[in-house]
Amino acid sequence: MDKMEKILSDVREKFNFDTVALTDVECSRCHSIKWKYNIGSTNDRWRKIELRSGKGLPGIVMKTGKSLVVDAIERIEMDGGVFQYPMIKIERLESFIAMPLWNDTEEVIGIVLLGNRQSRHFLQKEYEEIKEYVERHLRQQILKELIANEGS
Amino acid sequence: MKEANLIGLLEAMFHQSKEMILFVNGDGEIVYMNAHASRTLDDTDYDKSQFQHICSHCQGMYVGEGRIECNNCYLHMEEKVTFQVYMRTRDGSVEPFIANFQRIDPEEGISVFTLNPLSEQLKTQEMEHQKRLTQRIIQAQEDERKRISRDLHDGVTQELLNVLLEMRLFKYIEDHDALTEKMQKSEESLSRLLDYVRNISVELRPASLDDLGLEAALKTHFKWVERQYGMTVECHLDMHNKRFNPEVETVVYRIIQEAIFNAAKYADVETVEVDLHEIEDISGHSLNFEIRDGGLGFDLNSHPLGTGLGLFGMNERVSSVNGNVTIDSAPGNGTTVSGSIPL
Repeated sequence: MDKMEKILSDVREKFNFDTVALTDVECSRCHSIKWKYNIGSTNDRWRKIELRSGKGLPGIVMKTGKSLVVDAIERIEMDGGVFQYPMIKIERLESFIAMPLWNDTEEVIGIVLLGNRQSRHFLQKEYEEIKEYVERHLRQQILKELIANEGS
Repeated sequence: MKEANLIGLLEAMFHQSKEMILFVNGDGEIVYMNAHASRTLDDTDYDKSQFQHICSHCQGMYVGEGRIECNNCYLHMEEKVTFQVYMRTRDGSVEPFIANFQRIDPEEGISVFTLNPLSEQLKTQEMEHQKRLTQRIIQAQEDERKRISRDLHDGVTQELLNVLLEMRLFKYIEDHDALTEKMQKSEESLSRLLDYVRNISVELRPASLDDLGLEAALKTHFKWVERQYGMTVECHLDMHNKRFNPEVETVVYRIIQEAIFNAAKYADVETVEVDLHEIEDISGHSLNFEIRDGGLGFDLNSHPLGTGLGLFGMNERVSSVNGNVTIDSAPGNGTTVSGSIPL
């Protein structure tokens, strides 16, 4: 288990998520976005997914630059149906937080998806805690890796 | 009541009834039919010395959603009550009837088949259904436009605006290296935008279908499906890039596309198999297709989870080129869509 996987697993356990996924941060300005990690997945379908920029959950989060918090999928009207968001469909998520991660020059470098297979009510305080934890651990690790790779 | 009396009455009923009563044996041959039946049904094609077969009158059963099919024939059932069949009538038209079919002599395999003209009320129902279907088609068309419009607005317009703003700032940048870097970013944005627009047009209608043919277009589409839904399409196409009539190519492409979408939406599987073969033998020349998934499956008689327009569209498309399509599925047993188009 590499360091990133460890952090993602920690987030998953600490905040009781079923799955925690992260996009491939090496390619934040590419034409398409892939998921690089998905801790707690039940199958390997997510590895095949490669959405063109602007599509799916990463698309929305990147465009708005804001977190998307959904308590219960059935209660919201999603543009084009859940079908437009393959990760939700494949992992059978019922609730999730999709959060953008920024670098220091105000670019979104990655999206982290924190999902549950039951509906779940997120309190503001809880969300802030998760966000703070993710930024302190996950974001720092991503930046560290990006810098390390740039050097090599 | 005396038995003799009952037989007399039954006989009178059989001969005088305004209901068509037919007795059919296990092979579907008509043993007897009453006067009203022989007055109504078309018998011009028959050699009177031979047995008449029910299948030469029957044009299929109504299975809902405006479709008529000849599957699960009532002839093979013990009993089927109140269903809708289409029969050829003497005036040359095909009319709907409400039918009952019941085996009354299991030893000889004789069944009684009664037919009543479809009431006005049911005809109205059918019209209402047609109206609803039209509304749904219009709605689907509007949704599609909304999607395209949003794609253009959110994707293309936004990105263009970004690049425009970036470029406006160029003239204020003094430092050469900084300018080069900004220009590179704009270039990236433009190239991404180009890709985006290309994708929109491919999703609407793949140019490769017109230029390179069915096989190339399908293979491109399968790759797209894999990236979009994480579902692999295992295809067995052996057409050696042969080209067909453009109408046939479009129909086959859209049917396979629809079947795969359905699998991605409802089957919950990692792979789908697609077979496409050109068959040429004594029985004819046709293009046969089959799309199989080993997924969840569904009850064919249940209410569709989606709009139901997809399956309807498949039928409509295939009948426009005189082909046929059948859908076979059961809960837990996966779904198979297969059919053929004459060439």
